[in-house]
Amino acid sequence: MIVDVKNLVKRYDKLVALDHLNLFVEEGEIFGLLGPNGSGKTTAINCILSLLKYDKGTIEIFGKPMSQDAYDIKRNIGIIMQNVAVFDELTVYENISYFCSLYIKDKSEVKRLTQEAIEFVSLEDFTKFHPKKLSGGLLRRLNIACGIAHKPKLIILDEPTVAVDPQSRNKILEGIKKLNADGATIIYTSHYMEEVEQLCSRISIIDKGKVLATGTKDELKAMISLGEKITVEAYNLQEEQLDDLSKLTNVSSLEYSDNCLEIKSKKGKNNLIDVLDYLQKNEINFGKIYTQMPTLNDVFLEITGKELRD
Amino acid sequence: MQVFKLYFKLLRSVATSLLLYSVIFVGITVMQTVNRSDDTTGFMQEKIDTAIVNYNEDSPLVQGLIEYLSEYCDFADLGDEEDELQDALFFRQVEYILTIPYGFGEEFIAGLNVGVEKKTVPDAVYATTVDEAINTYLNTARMYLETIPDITEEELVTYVNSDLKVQAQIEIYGKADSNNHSFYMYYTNFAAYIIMSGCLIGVSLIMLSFHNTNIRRRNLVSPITLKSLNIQLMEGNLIFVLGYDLLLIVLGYILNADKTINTNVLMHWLNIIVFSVSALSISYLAAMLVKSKQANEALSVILPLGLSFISGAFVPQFLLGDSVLHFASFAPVYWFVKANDTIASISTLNITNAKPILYYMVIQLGFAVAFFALSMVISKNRMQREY
Repeated sequence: MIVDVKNLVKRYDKLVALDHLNLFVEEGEIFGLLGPNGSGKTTAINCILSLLKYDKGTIEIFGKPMSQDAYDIKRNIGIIMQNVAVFDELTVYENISYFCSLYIKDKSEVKRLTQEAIEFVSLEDFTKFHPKKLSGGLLRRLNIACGIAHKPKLIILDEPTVAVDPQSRNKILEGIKKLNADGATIIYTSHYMEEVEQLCSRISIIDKGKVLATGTKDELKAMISLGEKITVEAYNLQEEQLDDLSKLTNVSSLEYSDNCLEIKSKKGKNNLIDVLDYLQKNEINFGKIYTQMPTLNDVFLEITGKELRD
Repeated sequence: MQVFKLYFKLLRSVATSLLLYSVIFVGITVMQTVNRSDDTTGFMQEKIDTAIVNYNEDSPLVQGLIEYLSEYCDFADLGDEEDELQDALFFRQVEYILTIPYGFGEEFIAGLNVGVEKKTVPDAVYATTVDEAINTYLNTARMYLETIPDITEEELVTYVNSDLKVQAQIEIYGKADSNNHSFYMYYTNFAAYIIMSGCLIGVSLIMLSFHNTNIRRRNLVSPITLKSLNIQLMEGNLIFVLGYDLLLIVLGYILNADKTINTNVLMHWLNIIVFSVSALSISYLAAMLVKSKQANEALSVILPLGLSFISGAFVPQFLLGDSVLHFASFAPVYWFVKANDTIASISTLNITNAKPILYYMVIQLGFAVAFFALSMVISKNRMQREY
């Protein structure tokens, strides 16, 4: 096990930021920490990195207790913070080279790794640029390069795609997959469920400092009762008809407005066929139909009663 | 030594500002040195172009007064037309118009309260010399009148003329080294501003970068120890400041025509180094308190200028008010300037007369210790709050 967090408690006066948080990260996986803003993701990361003192619990990384002076552990960790942490006075190359040199003593090795990191984030054309001359996306890529240049075994990314354009976001996500493929274990925190769903092999959903559920995306989706969402463009539905539809097998709830019927059904077979049968038998005109499998947002909604972005 | 190397890379970003400050400093110093070059061995009385309107020509007292004033004035007779006199004054043909009224001599001898009339151009610098001469002559005459009631006008003029011919002899001591002293006093006093600006531009800016929360966190999660990071930063700061001192010392040596290096010059150099340590401590504290680089840039202009001005780095301390100096004494610049002035005022330094200078240097170091301690307390509190 690469990271093992047990019963972590962090309080700010009366506010409990982390409430007996338990996490574990296996070697070689991309572990996602998904939760809304203020759920405790960054606090958890800061505690794991010993940047924050915690009130209770234990943290082990690479099987050893993590502390401020655990330099042998720190040597193998790469961190990409939510906010860009680079020197404005240095060029792209100098920034990456400096942060790499904090981990690697050999000059020629630093040079080689710096070059590799630049190529990895596709900043070859910007090596002599100062950070202020870079766009938001390029700046994020520089931030990542500074965190991964020394080829760490464990990489922690704390919301690295906040305020990043879609093109740069895709590049970042692809890069993370490649880092993982090259052997690095990744901890990825985000409140973007699509990113976590696309990237992570295992996910913990966190809210109010507590882990609500952990598993693969399929395991998480299997935890909830929602089977699928059926949306039908149907015209002039009457109250009785809506009542009949709600009584169909597996229908858990429905909403109808602006000629749009949205049915949430429980897990089960033939849910869509049952709905279409009813519409045909009752000669109800309908247009577009589409179904949607549950998302992590639905998982979060069912567990907490609120949306991820609330 | 990664942090140490980084220090000097970061310093590159402020190199232009530091160079600009140094060039301006050299320029001003050269100009001031040329203006201040003081080879005076004697003194020559300036004479003022003066128009005289004398309505009491027959009086021996008036004649005596005019004769005495001829040492201070170049007299011109422009008549007594008011318009012509005003024009002469306006066009600076004369700077002073002296009018002696009718019966002045007789009325003065009779003990009446009489006076001459004068008109001058605005802000006439030398007019005071003429005023002083007139007052001296007439006050001396009045003193004789009061002491010898039956004195005749002729006797009075003889006595006054004979008294006013007596002049004091002045000898200038310690002349040999005065140029050297004067240059270094001016140079080092002004250097206070440059050293402090340099420290705030260089040291504060670099420290601000390292205090940036995100960069500090990135450094903290790296395998470099906090102790090693701080030591490397301190080494960088000291080398930068001492290098800057060395530059100023070499510049001073080059700019000064007198290449003598005596104990006074060495003390000035030592004072520069001592002061730069306290300037460094101020920069540390500023970097702790200031939130942004923009604020630091503003501070690096205002603080050195303000402190240098009230502490007497630009104008001599004796010209500043007591309350200003009292306020300034809470800053190390004041003690730096005081030490410079004291060094310059001593011809030959020895253990006894060097004591006050060393005392002023110890005070500067005291300030440095206090500012460093305060910075450490703030830093510790901040880290505890964040951790």
